Amino acid sequence: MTERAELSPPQEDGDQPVVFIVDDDASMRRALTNLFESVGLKVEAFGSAPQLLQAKPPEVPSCLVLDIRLPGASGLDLQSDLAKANIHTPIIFITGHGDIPMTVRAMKSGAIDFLTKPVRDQDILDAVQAAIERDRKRRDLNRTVSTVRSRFESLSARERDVLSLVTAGLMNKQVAAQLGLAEITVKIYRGQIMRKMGAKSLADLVRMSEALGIGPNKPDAQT
Amino acid sequence: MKPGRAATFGKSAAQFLAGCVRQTVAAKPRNEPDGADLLETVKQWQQVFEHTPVMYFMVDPAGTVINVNTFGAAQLGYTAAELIGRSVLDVFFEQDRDFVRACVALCLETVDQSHTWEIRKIRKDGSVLWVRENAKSMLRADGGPIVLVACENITERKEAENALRQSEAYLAQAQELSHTGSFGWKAATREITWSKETYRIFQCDEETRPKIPFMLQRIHPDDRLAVQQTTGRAAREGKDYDHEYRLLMPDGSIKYVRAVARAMRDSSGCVEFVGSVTDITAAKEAERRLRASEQRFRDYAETASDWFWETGPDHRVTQISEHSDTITAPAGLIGLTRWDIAPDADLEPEKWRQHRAALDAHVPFRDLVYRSKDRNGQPIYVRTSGKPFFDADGAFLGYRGVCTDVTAAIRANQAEDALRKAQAELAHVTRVTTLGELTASIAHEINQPLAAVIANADACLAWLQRSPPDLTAARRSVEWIIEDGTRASDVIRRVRALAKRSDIEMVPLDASVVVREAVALVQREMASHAVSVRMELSSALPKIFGDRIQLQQVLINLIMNGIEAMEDVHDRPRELAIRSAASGDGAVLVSVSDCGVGISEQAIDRLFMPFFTTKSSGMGMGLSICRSIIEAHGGRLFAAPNQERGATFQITLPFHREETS
Repeated sequence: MTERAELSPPQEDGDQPVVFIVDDDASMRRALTNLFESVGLKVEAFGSAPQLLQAKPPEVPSCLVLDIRLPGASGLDLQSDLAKANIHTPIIFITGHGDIPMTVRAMKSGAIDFLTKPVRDQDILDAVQAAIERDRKRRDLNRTVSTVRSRFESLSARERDVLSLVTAGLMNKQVAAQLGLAEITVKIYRGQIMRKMGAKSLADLVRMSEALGIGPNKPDAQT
Repeated sequence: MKPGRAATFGKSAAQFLAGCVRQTVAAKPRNEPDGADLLETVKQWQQVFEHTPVMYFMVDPAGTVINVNTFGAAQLGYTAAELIGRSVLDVFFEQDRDFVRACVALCLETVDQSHTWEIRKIRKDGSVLWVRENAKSMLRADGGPIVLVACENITERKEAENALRQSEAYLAQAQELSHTGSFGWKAATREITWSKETYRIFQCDEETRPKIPFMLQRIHPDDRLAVQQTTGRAAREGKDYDHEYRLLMPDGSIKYVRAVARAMRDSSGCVEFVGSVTDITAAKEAERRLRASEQRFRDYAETASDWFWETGPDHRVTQISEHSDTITAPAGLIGLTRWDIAPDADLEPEKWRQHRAALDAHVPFRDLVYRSKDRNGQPIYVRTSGKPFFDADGAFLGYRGVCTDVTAAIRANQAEDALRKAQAELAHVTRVTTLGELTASIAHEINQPLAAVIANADACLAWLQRSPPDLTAARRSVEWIIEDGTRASDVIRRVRALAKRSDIEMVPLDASVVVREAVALVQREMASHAVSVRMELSSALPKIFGDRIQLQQVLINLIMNGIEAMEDVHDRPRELAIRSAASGDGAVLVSVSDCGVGISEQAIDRLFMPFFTTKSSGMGMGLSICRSIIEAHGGRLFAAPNQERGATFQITLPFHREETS
């Protein structure tokens, strides 16, 4: 039980995670809200999917607790709607009457967990914690990639060429030969790239290029 | 004889007297010398004249009394001196005086010829004296006529005659009134005498003498022989007879007569009959009617399945009407009391205690139903009513009454009860079936608050474990736990009410409340089928009278039907509209409209028939039971397609009428 208190670590600068709840049953909504608040989580609860969609997408680590049988659109419909809207908040489904096909569909669509009402508090809190962690990581990753990308975008075309060949593991001499440059020129580009990308080592640079998805290009692929 | 009827008469006292006087007067010249003798003779005759008990009057032609003897004057209450010199008319009634004058004139015309008549005279005291007068006129020595009148008192005879006439009149009256005539019949001479009434009975002219052929002709042809035999034998044997026969009257009508005669023998030993003949047509007619009426009631009694009974002062059966053609009327009950007969006497002591109290109070009773046995020993139900009867002095004699075999009616009632029970059973079964279909929804309805309870309880613990514990939040959590727990138990209560096999409980209800409760149970079902409900419920509806559970069953059924009807609707919102309103004609109207597939015209007719269904699952009993439930509530349930889409099921239920005294 004491672990639960740890679930509410002191969060600085408004990076406090939020649990979104969508349940058409007011008392269920109220109870889940109470439960999450009791462990120090911020909660935003909605009675229906459209209400959620109208709300501002979260800027902080968050997760979605969804009753799979919502009036109007079902929880699964909402799941696909959110995906289309490029909102990747992790979803925990809860249901009063879980059936296997639904569970399978939900999990395939990337649901974190599928819980049956009444849920054990530890189960849902664990699920929420895990979801928030995942979201935090996703958000951290997203944040890193976007920094690297903006740095990458500050590179000149020639620098990008050099980067891709360097991260592919070619030596300066090889790069110079490939690009028809003097070896010394390659060395200068390389220093500029390291500075612009904020990379401390070649290994750093390789990771960054992987995150950007430009990967270690094969020299022949370039041709 | 009428007063003053004159008749010529032969020798009489007056003639004799007049003769004597004449002789005396005529003898005088011959016995001239003997004056003393003459005087003596006159004196003697004077005495005779005075004291003879005959009234003598001497009247002159003008009618003045010349002389009257003492007896004559005394009879009229006068002295002789009072009458002499007065007109003789003074002692006659005014209305008889002309007759008197005529008689006097007749006497004067026919000197020496004697006349006789009867007439009334008035005494001095005003009373009547009937006399027979014997009169003649004679010439006196001077040639003037005088009228000598001798009168005999006939008052007694007259009174006897009057009395006889009176009694004859009475008799005639009596005969007329009693329609009884008298007759006499001398068998030997065949002589017949009839009284006036007998003439009337036979419609025979009084002037013609009754003859036997006439009588026979009057007698109805069918009765003639019998009459002849009866009277013939009576005449031969000299015996009384008493018989009845019919007369066929000239106008074709029939008269019933009864003749009674007593045989007597006259002085010569011949048989003669004196008798009476009575017109008994009216009596016969009354008797015939009475008999017809009796027959009529006997026919009624015998053809009715009812039977009639009579009990004595001790309430024991004394009589039971006979029913030859029915076995229901029990036999062998004479001498038993009703509670000896009934096998339920021990089972229902209160009923019989009350009944016996009524009997002992000698008051009428009605519609006592009890068990009995018919002649074959089969159990039957009997309904009986009776009233006490009393003798002329008011003494209680017993009861008379009628029994009816009500076995069939009671069996029908029992069958109806059984049917009602079976219907309720079926309604219950389908209700439970419906609940079965709703299981998922109901489980959800119960699970939802339970899940909330658990979540709130976990939260409550967490609030308490904080440091410091957040008691406000913990308390709030517990309050929510209570709310949610209550909600779960409400759902369970509603479901149990529906599932319970309960007796029908008719109470005043608000239809809108019933609708809301029913909708609450299927809320989830609607949600999971993406059906929204629009309720337009009138508040302040007049109360209806019904069984809450059964009405909810009907509503749930209709809502479920609506949900299913919209299963295949994807191009528009699935909306169910439920309305309640008061209709103009004293009924509450509840309708459930869907926008689903609708109902075809052909289906509408069969919709409410048992086992009609358009679904692949389901018995097709739902709507049929719904309709029988609504009809048992005195209402109507019918369906109609909507103008746009879908169908509307409409229920009407009459307002509950408060029992007014």
